[in-house]
Amino acid sequence: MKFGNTTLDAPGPRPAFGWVDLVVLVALFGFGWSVLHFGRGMLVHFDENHIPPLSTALSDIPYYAGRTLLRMWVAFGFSLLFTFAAGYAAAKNRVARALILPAMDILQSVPVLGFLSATVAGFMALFPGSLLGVECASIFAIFTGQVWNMAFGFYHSMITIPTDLQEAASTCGLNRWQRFTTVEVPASMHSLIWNSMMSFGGGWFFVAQSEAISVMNKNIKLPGLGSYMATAVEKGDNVAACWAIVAMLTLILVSDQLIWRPLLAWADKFKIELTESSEAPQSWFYNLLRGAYVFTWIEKKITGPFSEWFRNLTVRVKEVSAPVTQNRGDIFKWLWRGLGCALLAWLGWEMLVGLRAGVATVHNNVTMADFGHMLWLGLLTMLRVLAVTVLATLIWTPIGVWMGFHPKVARFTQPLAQIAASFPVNMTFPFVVGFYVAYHVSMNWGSIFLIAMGTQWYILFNVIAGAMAIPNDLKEAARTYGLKGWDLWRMLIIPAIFPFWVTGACTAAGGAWNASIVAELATWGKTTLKADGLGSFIADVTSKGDTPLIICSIAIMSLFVTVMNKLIWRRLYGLAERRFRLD
Amino acid sequence: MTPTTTTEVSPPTAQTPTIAELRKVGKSFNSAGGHEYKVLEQIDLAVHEGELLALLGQSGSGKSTILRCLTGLAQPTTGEVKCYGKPLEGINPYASIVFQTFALYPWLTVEQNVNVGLMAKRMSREAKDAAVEKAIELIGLANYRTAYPRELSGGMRQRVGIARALVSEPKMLCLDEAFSALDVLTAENLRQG
Repeated sequence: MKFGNTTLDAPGPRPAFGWVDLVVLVALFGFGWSVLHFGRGMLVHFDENHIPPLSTALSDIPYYAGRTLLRMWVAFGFSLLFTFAAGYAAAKNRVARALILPAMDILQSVPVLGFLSATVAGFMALFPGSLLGVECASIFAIFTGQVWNMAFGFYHSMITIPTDLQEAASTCGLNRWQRFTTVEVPASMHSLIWNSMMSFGGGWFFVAQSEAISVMNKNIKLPGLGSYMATAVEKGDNVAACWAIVAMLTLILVSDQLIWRPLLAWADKFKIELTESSEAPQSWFYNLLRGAYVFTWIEKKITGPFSEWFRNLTVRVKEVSAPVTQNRGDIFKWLWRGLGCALLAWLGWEMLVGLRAGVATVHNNVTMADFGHMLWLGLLTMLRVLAVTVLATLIWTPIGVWMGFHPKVARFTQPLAQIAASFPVNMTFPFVVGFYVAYHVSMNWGSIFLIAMGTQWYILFNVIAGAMAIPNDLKEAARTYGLKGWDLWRMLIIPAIFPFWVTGACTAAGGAWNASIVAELATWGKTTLKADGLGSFIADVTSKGDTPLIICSIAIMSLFVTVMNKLIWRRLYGLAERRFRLD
Repeated sequence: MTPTTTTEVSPPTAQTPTIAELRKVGKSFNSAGGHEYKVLEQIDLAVHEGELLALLGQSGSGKSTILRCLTGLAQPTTGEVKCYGKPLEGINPYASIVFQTFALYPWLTVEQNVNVGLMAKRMSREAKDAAVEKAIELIGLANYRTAYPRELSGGMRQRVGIARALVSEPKMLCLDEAFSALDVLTAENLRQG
């Protein structure tokens, strides 16, 4: 068979340095400098009695924005490390799986903002007299806000790698490291990047909140955009507050355009299905970078030889099992198991001790009446969360479906909805509360809107994605049979978008619980508005530093979240899996 | 053996060493309802060096399972698998397999996919490149070296799978419906090669 001269060789980057390379190099050096510059600010001396006031000068915004951004990326780096470690262990080891999955399941339902007070105190004790302690607490809050979603996503894609791809690696004799780098990470790459993008977007909320916290009767402010905003609102400087919002939006947009869109465009080749997708994600920045020779050069001269060397280092030539290696392998296996058991025993012991101390504190300080009160407040907050979910569904589902059916509209509204979901709306709460104060709106109802401001977008963009994913032949079939109106919704649209809606609504509800901590208690200048609910209760006891009540209220909120997950979302997920899968 | 699977051996060369051998191998799977589903029972099979062996049978009669036992991808429920006289543990290092689904990595180019077959080998980079080059030449995809699998047709993908299996110069090459997606001419070329 002849193929003529047709080649699929890509034109390839120019084999010489060009102006793009110059820009990339300058950008790399600038990047290195700014990490050092902003990082140095983390290590300054800190005395909790003399906290330097934050300026609200507009010229300081770039510096504060840099600090906020650095915090986000440090937290994201740790999240990524944890994701690989926990996801890999859970996918590969039965014992690890039995421990990690339930633990993460519970941890992800704990409201992050609730235990800020505990982590701030802990990290400040770790780094006495340095701002690094508070910095770590903020980073830790962002980390806990984004890591569970990423780790679950990575675990899930690890266990759903097609069997034949795994077996091909086995017959080629790849070792663990080679298998990890050539099969497992690439196969999970697409979902990993997508989940990272979503988690990173959620992280803005926590960074804005954790920069200005009041714990143990102290107001602690870290230099950053969130605290800048808080200071501006305290001083009543509306211009500065507006600029802070603009700066925040810019940060989110820049991260999206320069990091996440290019990554998504690059990761398109990691999709498992072998059919050419009609619409590959595009990114102008990625197309620009692809023309840069610097990366080809780095790949050829540095990373390529290095990974080759590393691979050769890790290759063990496989022999047909000889008894000697068998014994040694056994010894190692038992050694590992022994170490694992020791670690588990130690962890279990520490947890028992902690649990006993916690129960003792709670037992001595909290009465049954307190418990009843907290449960009642939890019920109120749950009603708010449900109301937000139902209202957002009723409003955004028709709009989302309409957008999804018009790809031209969806192409720019979907990223917009994502950015709206990323924006830390807690920064804008003071304005809304000012409106409430002026028009005497009851916070008990008003907080529902505050909660919805941040979480409704998850429902919107998932519905858009679902409507866009409806296969064309199904739509055409519906059209030939003349389905219209409610019939069309009943037979096609609702079943098709249901799995997407469940994902969106579950995320929205989870976010709503976290948001209730900041949305049920809000301040505008001198006025503080408070709604009856578990969120405002947690915010209240956290700022007072009442440890037994903090423990109890967080535990109760986690309980509510877990019960809701088990009773509502798990069942809906199951239903979506069984009945409404489109393949 | 399931009655519908037959083996054709040619030429019968009992003198050459046995690469892999199945002895009274049985394999059963547990279905979702807890019911035991027997695929293989009492299979005796020996593969010698230089031998061409074809397994014929209806779909579902266990051809693929026999291949998976020989390559060590599946452990038999009863009986044993031997490799050059020693019991086989784990993956058979002398065998390579072309999968029914080809199992190419969508994120690797043709060249990189073929290179995966050599990853476990301690060779210099130049030697690896040369071997990959040769295997790609053999299957006639030299012009598509930097293409991704999704850009190729079914038959071309299958040829990449064959190249990946051949590149490590295995003692035993297992082809699972290997020529199913090939055009007659290429299949004939590969048979000759």
